[in-house]
Amino acid sequence: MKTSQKIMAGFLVTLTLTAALAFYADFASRRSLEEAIGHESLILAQETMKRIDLAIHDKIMYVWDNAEQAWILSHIVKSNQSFAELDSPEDFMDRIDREWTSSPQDTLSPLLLELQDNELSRALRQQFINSLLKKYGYSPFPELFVTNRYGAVIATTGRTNSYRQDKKSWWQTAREQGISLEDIAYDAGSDSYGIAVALRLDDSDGNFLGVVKAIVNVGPIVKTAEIATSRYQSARTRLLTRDGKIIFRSRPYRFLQDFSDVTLINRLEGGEGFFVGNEQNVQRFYSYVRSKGKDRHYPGFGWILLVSNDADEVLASAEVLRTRIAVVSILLIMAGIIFALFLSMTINRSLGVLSAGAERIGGGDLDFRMELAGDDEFGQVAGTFNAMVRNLQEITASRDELNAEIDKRNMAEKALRESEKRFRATFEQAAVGIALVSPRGGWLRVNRKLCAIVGYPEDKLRQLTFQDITHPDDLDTDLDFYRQVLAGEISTYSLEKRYIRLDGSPVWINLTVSLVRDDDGTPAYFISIIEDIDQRKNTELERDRLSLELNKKNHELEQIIYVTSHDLRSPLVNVQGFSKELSADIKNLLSLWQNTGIPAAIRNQAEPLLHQDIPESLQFIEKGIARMDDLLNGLLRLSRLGRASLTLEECDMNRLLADIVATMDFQIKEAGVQVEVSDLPTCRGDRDQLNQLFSNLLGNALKYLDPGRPGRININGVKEKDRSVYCVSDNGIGIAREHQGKIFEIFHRLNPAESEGDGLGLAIVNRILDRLDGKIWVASEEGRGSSFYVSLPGWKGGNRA
Amino acid sequence: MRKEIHIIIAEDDDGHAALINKNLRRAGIENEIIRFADGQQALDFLFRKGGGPHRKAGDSYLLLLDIRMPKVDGIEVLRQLKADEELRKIPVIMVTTTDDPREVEHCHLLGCSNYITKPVDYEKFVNVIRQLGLFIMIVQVPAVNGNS
Repeated sequence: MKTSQKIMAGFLVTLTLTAALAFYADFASRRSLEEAIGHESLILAQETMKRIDLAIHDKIMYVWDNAEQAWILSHIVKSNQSFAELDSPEDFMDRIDREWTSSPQDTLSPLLLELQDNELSRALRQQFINSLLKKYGYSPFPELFVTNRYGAVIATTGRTNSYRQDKKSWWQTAREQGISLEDIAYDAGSDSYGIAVALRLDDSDGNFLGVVKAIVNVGPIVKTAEIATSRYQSARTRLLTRDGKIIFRSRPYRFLQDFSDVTLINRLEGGEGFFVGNEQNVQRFYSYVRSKGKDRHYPGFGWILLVSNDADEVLASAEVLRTRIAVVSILLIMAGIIFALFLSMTINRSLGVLSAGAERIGGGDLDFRMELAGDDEFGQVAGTFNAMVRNLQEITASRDELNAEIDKRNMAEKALRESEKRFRATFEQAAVGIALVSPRGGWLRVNRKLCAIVGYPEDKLRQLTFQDITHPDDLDTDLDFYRQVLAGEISTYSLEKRYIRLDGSPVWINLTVSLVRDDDGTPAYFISIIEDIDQRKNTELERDRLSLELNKKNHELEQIIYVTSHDLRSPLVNVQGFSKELSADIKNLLSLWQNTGIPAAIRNQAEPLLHQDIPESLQFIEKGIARMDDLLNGLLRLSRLGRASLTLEECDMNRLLADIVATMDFQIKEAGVQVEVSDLPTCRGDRDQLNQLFSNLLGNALKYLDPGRPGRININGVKEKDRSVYCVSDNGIGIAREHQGKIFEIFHRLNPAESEGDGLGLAIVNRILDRLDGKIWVASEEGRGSSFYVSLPGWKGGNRA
Repeated sequence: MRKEIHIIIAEDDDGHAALINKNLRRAGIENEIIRFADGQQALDFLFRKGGGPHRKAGDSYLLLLDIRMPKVDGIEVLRQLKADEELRKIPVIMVTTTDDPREVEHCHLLGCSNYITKPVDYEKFVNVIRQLGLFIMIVQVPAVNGNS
């Protein structure tokens, strides 16, 4: 990082901290403001609530104080006494109560009228209603009534709902605990909202006399809650019952309606508190306090006074402060940046001169001197630097040279090590045998694969030369190449040869050798690549051996046929010759026969022999000879086929077939056959052999015609991929399915009695096709005709004429 | 044909020899006919070796030679005759059952005068021998002296 950047960074950090501080101050002041306002309104709420509690307590105490007056108590005692005289106060009360409750609402029963108007009632009305009305303009007790100790109403200021009260829970609570309080509710009797207070009345000895019950109108009291409403315009005050019904609020409301904001209600925990919340999407500050009552007689109903203010309004002044802090901070930051830029530029200029100079000197220009005037630290540094450079100039020259040399060597060594590592990996893990061989033939280095091929452990192999393990039969060839490479006549060579493995077995390998020479041209070492080709080589050798053997056998077979045919011919010449001589002799004998005087009896016996039997025998002999001669000639032809040399060329089959048809013209005409030759593709073959082949096929077709119908022979051909397929088809006698496989066998004749031939025609065809890489197959139906298909290699040069 | 021409038949098959002999006579050849049953005997006679009969110096000879023979075959006999300065003058007619063109060519290359195939068909055989007789009657056969 450049110095100027460091200065800038320092300024930026400082300014960022300043800004952060400003924001923190804003945040903290806001918090404390919130707290202060919360407290303020909480205190107000507390005071207000206290006041409400006090007012309610006052009213309760008022009832109590005024009801325990002796004259009131004496009335009750009197009633108790009269009830005590009754046989069954219970029955009496029930009767009166039935009468009371059965009377219509709007009519007053005589009993009620009497009750309302008795002395006590009048006194109570005076005490609790009329006098207070006069005093305050309203009575806080809209209704009040008294029961004796049995629960019967003995006096009332209004209209109680029943006569007998002893079964009511408030009555029992009051009797047992001295006081019963009921939370604010609508009182139908007085048509007002109030709390009900029931108090036990005792005589001075603490004996239970009766109960007084009063409805306390709290309307004016709860209105004092408004005091808690703060000076803010947005302020709102609510007084709620324990279960969230509105008793009072600073805006229009219906008494005891449910306060709907449940989330707000849920936050009003404990006796008091303040918090920030939302109401109708507006942020507000809330303070609340719960009624605590006054003493054990009035422990409070759990009412909640909730005061809230709009946060915006409350914090309006804080907002102004915040904006100011932001503006000042930004201005401060901008000023800081501008100053930092200026400062860094000034320093940067000096540093630039120093740095550029140092760089130039560092780059090797030791003649350079820094031009930086001034009496500040930069000027001093420049001066010192210039002095230092002069000193450096003197010692650098030799050292630079040394360092450069060391660096160069290090680099070279590293490159060498890596190259060596790569070479070693390649050498060791190659899938072929690799070796470095000394100019004299010793194995210098060998890899694992080579050891595996020759079956030697590495250390053992390295004590040997390649001459040691090369098969003696292959050594001369290898040495010949080896000498040529050493002499520089060739640079590399490759040959297939055998090594002798450690276990004595030979292994065929493919060896590729090149020579590495030193800088002065002296042979350094050979690099040999050795590939195991044992399996391939053995397979090749076996194949060659079999092929040779096959050829030999073939040749032998043909020789046998050839020799045998000739040797068989010699005796045949004799048999034929002497049987002819014999028949000539017989003729001579017959002519002599006439002239001699042979007795008639003998003559008659001998003449049939001479005339018939002997000539007939001779005739059979001659027929046999003729047949045998045919066979021998055929065999000779067949053996000669295998020995005739082939001239493979493109054959114009149209011309070839035309020649054949012309040659056989006589036979064709004689048989009255119609021969049609379509345009034929050329093929690759020997002209003479093909002539023989198609002559035989055409000859066969002519030979096996059906005498029952005019003969038709078609010859056509097509080109199929790289082959030409020809078809010679006839409408002759055809070949039965079971014979179709045998017709290509030697000496096989379909119909020896009816046709001539040596039985070799198709065997010869087969033999010719063997040699020309051709194929033949037949499709035939007995009685319909035959088609012979011949497939031959096509001429690669195309369909040239 | 002059009487002093001797006809030598080298033929291992007695029957063939007899048939050739008979038919040459029928064709009117009256020259002396000497028959050998193998090539060795013929060579001994001509080269005047061994204990058998030897040719006479100054006489003329004509050789009918079979190829397939025991001991020394006809090809070898032909080769030796043609290799000899003097005996090469003797006309050699190959008379054999072999009609293999390569064999025929071989004999001509070695220097045979004629090549006759023995047909199995006796009529043809007789014809061939008759023609051979005619040939022998008109051919000029040089005398062969004793130095060979």
